[in-house]
Amino acid sequence: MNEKFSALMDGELPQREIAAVVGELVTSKDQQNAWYEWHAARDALQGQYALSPEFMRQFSARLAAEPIVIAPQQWRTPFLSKKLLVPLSAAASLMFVGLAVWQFSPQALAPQNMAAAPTTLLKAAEVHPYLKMHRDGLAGAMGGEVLAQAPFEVERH
Amino acid sequence: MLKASERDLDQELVRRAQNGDQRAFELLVVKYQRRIARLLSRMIRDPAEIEDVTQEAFIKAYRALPAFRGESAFYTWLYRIAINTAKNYLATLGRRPVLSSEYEDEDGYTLDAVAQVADDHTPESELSNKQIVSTVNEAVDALPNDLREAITLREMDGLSYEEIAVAMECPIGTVRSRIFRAREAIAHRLRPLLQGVGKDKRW
Repeated sequence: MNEKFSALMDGELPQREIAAVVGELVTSKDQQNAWYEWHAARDALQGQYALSPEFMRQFSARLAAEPIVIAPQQWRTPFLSKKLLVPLSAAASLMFVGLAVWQFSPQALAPQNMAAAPTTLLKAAEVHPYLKMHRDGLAGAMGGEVLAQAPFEVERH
Repeated sequence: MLKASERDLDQELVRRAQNGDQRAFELLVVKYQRRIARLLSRMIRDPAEIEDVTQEAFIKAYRALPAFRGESAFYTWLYRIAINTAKNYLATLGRRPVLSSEYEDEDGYTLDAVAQVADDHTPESELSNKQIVSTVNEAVDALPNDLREAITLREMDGLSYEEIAVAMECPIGTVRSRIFRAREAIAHRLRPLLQGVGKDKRW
């Protein structure tokens, strides 16, 4: 038994040490006994409810009859803490709003501005077979109506 | 230095329990069994029923463990399960909860001195619980002054090591050492009693 284990119980252990000390706790019978005794003493000092001495033994017998639970890990890791998530989500929101404003702004929708925008021009001969394949395939999946009307423009040379 | 909180400790134990380590869950039960029992004693009068419903609440928590994602503290989550278990239990019996005026909140900090030893425990368990309480008190009284002060400030007043260091005008490392030594001394006196009442096998 050592001071680290006592500090763990008090929430006074450095965070980087917690996994190792808890790892010892779940494997060491001596430490588990100390855990039991120290909590019994703490609860007695704090005037907690007095359970019968058999409580824990009976509970362990019940628990042993339960199927082992295995849960997918869905915990928030330290790397995705609030400190990181707040600026990330703020940046994502700003990007979304900016994109939405740009897409629906009159300038963005105006044909002359679209023409002026720097774009990568594709040759119709290269794109048509590709788009036709998609149209045929998707039209088949969606009943052959929607995409038959879907316009697309290709820069012609 | 980033300190691990009580929540971090619980989270580590829950994570291990979610990975199939039942012992980790038992360690959480050891930690919270009396707090949950005291909570339920505000709704249920009979001590045998309190123990049954406490056990049932922990079993329900164990079964629900895959759904626990750590968005709230483990005790907060456990508290809600315990309350619902008690309500369901009383509903099946057609009874209404008997609420004490000092109803413990979900952080468990509303104290009620009456709860120290329930009045209508069986004579055998009441005796053993009284023995545990008196043995702990005697052990604390027998400690050297510096150990007694440190463990009292920690366990009864809930001070952090830093606060105790300020109060006792000593380094934090000394506080840590004093609390550890106090716990060892108390446990040394308590051990034979706990082994005796648990018939040599506690859990």
